[in-house]
Amino acid sequence: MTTSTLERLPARSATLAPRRPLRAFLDDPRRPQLAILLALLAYGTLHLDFVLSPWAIPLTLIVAHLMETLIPRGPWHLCKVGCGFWGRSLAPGWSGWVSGVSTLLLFRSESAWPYVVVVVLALGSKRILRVRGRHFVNPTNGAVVVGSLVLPGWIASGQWGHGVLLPFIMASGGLLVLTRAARIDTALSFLLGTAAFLALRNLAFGHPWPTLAHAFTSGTLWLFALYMITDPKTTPQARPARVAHGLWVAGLAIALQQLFFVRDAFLWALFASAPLVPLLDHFTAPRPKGDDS
Amino acid sequence: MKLDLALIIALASVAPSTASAFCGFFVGKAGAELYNSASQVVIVHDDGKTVLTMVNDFKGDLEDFALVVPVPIVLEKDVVRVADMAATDHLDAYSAPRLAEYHDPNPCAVNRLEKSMMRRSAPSAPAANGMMLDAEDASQVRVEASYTIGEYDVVILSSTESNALEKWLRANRYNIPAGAARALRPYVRSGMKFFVAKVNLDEMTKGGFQKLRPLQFAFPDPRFMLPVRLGMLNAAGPQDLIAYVITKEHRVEPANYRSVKMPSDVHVPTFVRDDFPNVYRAVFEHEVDKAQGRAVFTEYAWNMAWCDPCAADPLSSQELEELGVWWLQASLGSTGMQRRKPGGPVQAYVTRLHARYTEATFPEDLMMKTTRDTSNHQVRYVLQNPYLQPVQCDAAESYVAGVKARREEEIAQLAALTGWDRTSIRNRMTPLPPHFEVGPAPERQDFLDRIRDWFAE
Repeated sequence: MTTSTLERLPARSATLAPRRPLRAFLDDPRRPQLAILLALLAYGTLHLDFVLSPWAIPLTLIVAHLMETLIPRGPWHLCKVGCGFWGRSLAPGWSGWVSGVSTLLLFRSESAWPYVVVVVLALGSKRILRVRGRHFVNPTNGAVVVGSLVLPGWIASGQWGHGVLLPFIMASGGLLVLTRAARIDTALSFLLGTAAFLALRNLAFGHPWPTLAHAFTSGTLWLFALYMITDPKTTPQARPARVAHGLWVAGLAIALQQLFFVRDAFLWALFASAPLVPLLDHFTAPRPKGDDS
Repeated sequence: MKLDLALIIALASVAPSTASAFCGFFVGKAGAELYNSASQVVIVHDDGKTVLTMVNDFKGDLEDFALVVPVPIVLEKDVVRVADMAATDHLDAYSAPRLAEYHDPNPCAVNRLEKSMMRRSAPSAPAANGMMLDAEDASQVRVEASYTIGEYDVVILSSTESNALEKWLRANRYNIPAGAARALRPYVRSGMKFFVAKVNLDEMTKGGFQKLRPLQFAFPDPRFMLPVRLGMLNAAGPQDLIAYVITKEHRVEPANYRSVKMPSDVHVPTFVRDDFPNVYRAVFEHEVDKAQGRAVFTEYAWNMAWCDPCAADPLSSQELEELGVWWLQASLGSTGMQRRKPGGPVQAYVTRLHARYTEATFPEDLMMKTTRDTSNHQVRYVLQNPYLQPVQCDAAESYVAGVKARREEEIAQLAALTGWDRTSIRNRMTPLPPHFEVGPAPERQDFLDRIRDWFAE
């Protein structure tokens, strides 16, 4: 759910001359990510009773694709001569698709148009809310949270249920994506933080221990930990800062949930913590070579 | 005095009823009365405030009845009252799973018939023991308020320590199940108060009440949750909870459990008419098994202005007010019947949630969430009666084939709904009269014939 932009890391692919198709597929972590998210969407829609109007899926994905491809990111990015649908215009659309599918997984509405608004908000915020050339609000997270306030829609956090198999599948797929995107540290610190803070909460308030297992069999938690909070663009650049960020989001979410009875607390915690990312980067990010500032 | 820590143990007895409807004819419903240990609670919620109505259809010795509910504030006498049972019964009837029946017309003419029927079932009760209270324990429990409302004696307790609270309850002759302190601890540590009610037998006799009436109270409720964990303490097996949540205009769903809509609009064999409560119970149990018990089922979600087909008429505005819907006074006229269909929605949307929970499958209290969903859902099964008289015309042959194919489909549907095997379903079906046997075999044959005819033309 790393919304949009699992940073494109295709540099290594250019050096490997004849590549095997699987290898080529995996080179950009957004592709396996998208494949997993699409599979989850299919599973949810067909098997888990998702409230999802049939028009929402194609509309959201088309708008997401158009937002990513047709709106120029800068004058240099305008489609030049020879730009084919698959060649130039689909490839840059991966992040748009990831945002679109993520929206369809998280957000719920009776009609199709709110999904479209959410995806426009997501991909638009990426262009607008920027600090030193990086967007810092996780686009899908921000758009879904704001959308649930202002649009006729809601966030369906209980929809994945509590089993063992689904989190396992999400986890294995997530690991694959994250190891390639090098953001496993965020996921781990968030998950360990969640376990630790929930344990503290249980000690403080006397909740029974099975609540811990209940939390960790939640498909929603794993989806958030592995596909959303780990978005490379909106996590701090230095590893210690990423670990701190993961722990902070976990702690804030549990505090919001326990003390203020906030539903979907993880999403709100991540959204509220977005300004921390440029701040942490300011103090900890490795400076690019030649940057003396 | 025994303390029933369950939210409530209740079985509304719904009178058999029928009502004609726009689409089909309503012939039966499966209300809350068919579950052995079911709690019923009506939650009216809007803008961080809740009015909770707890149905106490307690069948044991009234001296043994008592109720404990954690609440966020000390409830003064003016926010507690005794409600009318008829309104909750009506709400159960209105939102219950329903059966709609249709009759095939004479395939050779047009002709109509109509019919109806109903049913019901039984109850349960709690356990006992005692203990002394020392000075230290007593200092850790405070009686914040105490009053008599109708046939109930109510105390509001606050406590700083759950063991002391358990001892206080025992010392005051509430006999509570083992493990009560552990279950009460999270609420004590969150600073919640406890609404504790028992029956005042004198008032009961004076008032001439035959049954306990529902207890109703209002409080600010940022949590929007049901403390189902307490109900597990004295439960021998799985507990059923039926929560009717009334909001202004949107469906409510669980926030920390999966929400599943009960399957609906399925054609089932006509014998279901005479056994609908049992059939629905099997459907519900099958769904619970499929979800491994870890889901909350939506049996009804509808704007209170109308219904189709109606298991019972929508509630009148007086009945809604009786249930605590506080926002209606200004916006409505007085007669409910005027508000049925299509005259636009009313500011009352009811979601009927049904959960079957155990300690293992529901480790957390049920947290709820108001969605922005205004769409409708009901549990409706359809009976289609074939036209059984011998008929002779061109249409008769294909009608006979169609009925046979339809019966196979109904068997398959009911098997999928209940998990029963097809042979046992088939054996319960009324055989078709002999003249149905001479027609062509169903479905495929019919289809191939049509293809042949088509090519022949």
